[in-house]
Amino acid sequence: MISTVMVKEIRETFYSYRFLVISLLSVVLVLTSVYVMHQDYTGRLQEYHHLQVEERVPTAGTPPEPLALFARGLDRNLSQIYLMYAGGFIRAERSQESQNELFRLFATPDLLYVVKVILAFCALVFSFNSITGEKETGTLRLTLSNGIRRAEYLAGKWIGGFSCFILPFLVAFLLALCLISLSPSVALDSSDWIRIGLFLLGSVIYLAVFFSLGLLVSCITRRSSTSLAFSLMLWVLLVFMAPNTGGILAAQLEPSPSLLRLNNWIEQAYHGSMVAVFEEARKENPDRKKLAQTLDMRTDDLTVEYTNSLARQATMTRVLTGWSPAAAFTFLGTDLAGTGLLEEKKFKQAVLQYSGLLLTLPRKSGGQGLVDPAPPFSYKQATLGEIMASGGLVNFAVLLIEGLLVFAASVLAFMGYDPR
Amino acid sequence: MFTTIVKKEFLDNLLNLRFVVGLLVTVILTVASVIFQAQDYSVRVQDYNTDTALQDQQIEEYGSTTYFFNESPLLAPEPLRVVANGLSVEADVSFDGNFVPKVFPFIDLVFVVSIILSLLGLLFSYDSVCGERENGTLKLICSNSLSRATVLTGKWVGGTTSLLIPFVVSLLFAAIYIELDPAVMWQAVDWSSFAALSVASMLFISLFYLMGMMVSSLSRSSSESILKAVLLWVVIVLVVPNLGPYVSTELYPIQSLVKLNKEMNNYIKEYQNKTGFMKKYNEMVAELDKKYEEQYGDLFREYKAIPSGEVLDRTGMEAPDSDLKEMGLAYRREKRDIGSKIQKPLNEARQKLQAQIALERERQTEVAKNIAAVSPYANYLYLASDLAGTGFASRENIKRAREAFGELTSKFTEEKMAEKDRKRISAFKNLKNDPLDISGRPRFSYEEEPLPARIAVSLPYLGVILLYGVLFFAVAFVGFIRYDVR
Repeated sequence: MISTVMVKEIRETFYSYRFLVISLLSVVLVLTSVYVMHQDYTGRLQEYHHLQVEERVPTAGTPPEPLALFARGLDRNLSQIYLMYAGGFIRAERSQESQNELFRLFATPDLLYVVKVILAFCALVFSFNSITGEKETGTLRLTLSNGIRRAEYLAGKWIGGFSCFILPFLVAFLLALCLISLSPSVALDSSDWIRIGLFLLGSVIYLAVFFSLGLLVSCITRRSSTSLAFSLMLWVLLVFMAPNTGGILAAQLEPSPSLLRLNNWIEQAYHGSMVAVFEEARKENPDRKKLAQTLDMRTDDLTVEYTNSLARQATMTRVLTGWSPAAAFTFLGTDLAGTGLLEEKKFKQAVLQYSGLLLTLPRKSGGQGLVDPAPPFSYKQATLGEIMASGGLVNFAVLLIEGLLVFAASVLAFMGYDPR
Repeated sequence: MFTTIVKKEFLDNLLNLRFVVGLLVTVILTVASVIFQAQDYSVRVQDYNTDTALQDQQIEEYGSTTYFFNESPLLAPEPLRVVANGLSVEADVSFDGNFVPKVFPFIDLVFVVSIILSLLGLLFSYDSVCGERENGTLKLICSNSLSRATVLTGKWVGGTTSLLIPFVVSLLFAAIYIELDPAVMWQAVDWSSFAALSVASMLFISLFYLMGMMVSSLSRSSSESILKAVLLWVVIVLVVPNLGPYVSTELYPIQSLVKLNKEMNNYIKEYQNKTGFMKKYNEMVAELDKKYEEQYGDLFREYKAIPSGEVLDRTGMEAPDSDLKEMGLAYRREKRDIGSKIQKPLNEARQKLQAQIALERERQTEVAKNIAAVSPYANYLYLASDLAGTGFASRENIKRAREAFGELTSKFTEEKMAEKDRKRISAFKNLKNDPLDISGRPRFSYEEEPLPARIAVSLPYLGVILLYGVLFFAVAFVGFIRYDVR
């Protein structure tokens, strides 16, 4: 019986106006987003190579991450070239985009955004009247008068409806992957493909949560218009409100000093230790280690505290927002793409270590902190195992459990639904 | 009859469940956003005060000619940031910056209006025509001796009024909170900007009511209408503006700024090689040396024999008066003049290239801005941020003020350098160098634009929104005239 309901749901959806419009929208959006982000990535890659040639001071940086095509996250900050000056001063080379202010006013239209905001919205629009609509047209009574269990009926509707909704997205996603694999500028290895697979899986589960939410709302309301109003407000609360208030709350619960104050600390420490440095350097055989220690401005309590406060704020944000599906999906997507807070923390640590290493090496006279020969900066991205262990699995679990809970709640609500 | 329709539409909406849901969500979100933003603002103000004091202390302590140029003057947080975040002033690329807020940007009143109330506008109006047809009430209304224009206008006025209730209530709560919060000190100009922003927001919200009405009068059933309306909303609010900056880089590709910078550096190097820059300089200095040797003879030879570390101690400004000092001062002045003369064409070329880069950047931003401006949502964001003093116009003003300040400081330090007879002064108090006297140093001050100027800047954006309003109403009207009421 469940298969009959499923087939009926698929057929009905398939011929509906809604299916046509939403399919078109998701295909167009996914392809446009991937194309636009591909162009953006290629541009940034070129720029990165331009930036790299300069050799005034030792530099640290990683090229733009190809998976930023899907979730750009913090990639702009990660794929910077950082100039390492004496005394632990680290400055970012100014890039193209930092100049165009419009990028800051609007959200980045990457796939993460398309799925998280727009397709989640479409999922709700797809399912908001799946029960109320049937009730209003009178078909719900007819169906339920047959010997079918309500849970089965709901499951059939869910499977049929969701497969119709997700199909265009999957097709568009595959098409986008084909296009990407044809692009000469995007080099993906096997680990990247696994990450893309996991990103896709995460997207499907995330959309399933929203589809089920629509179903749940439909099961607890009597009329489609009420159901729609509730669904859309739920969308606003879950996609925008929950993560953003969580973020702002985290910043207030775990405040961090301003950037300027950190720079002041570093500069003050630098100026303060200059006398000692000069004295040591004037000796016949200066103690390199001692010099390095005096010159390393990033080991004192204040700067360490600054770094720690940022880490605490990041953790607090994860804790406060992680329950919301949109936040869990954002963390999952950006971490998988190597553009998330996890990667940022790891990268910063690597740069700081490199800065410490440079301090212990003999210096060329004249150049600003130029070490001869400067060891190249090397950085290894977080592995899939690390991503999964530090939050990835939890985020997957959050999405899955929420999906199941919402569906279970819909079944419960539907048990007592009056089909008249 | 018109008032009857207005009243009916108004009461119809008021008694609907979506009104209660909308009112609750809007009020809660607005109040929450204002409370959070106000707290964030008070933290920013504290930060600003601490940081300014720190910066002053730092400059007093270590002020030097290079240090002045590096330190960008701090800006007090704009009071209206509490309701419209707009653009940030700080450059957002730095190694130590805090990335956490970038993951989930804070929401503000402008967000509540542009996302939630616009969506609510559609929810209120998507069935205003086709819903009445489905209920059968449309035929009854139209069977009266009433022009369809009157019906449509009445519906619009009544519906928009009911839609604005949640907004006005939210505004009231927000204003009360802002007034009571001691950390947020709004002046008259801030309140009037807030009022202007509120009026513009009301127009923006009513635009979405019109959009829903337009879609409704073009649809037969409300399920069809809501789908169309919501998709239109997705495109206008979520898709077009966000694509703007990226499409503009496609449509208007400009040379990479990094590349241009690189080219500039190459040009300078080439120029130096081609013109034999250093050689020329050395030649000119040699000539100068010769001139001095002829003129002063042994005195100049004595000067030349001084070890470089002691030159200033013996012939600097503070050295005891002597013939040697007088000659040394004159010699160094002439040598500096040679330096600046030979540097002049190079500096000019550099300035020209920099101006070109700035122009290209501005043009690209302009293109991006115009592409996004296809959407009324983008226009509202521009308008709101400009009215709040956190938009493009104020960023431009701040940039100009900072540039002017930069010129002031460089002039100041040049004067100081000339006074001290030095090429470069570093002023470590605890080192041997004599510190730079910076008691009369210029201070940065930035006056926000007055309200009329802000309104003038945001008028074109308002114009676009109104134009869309007229367009939507016209289409709705045509659709309604031809609408089959059965």
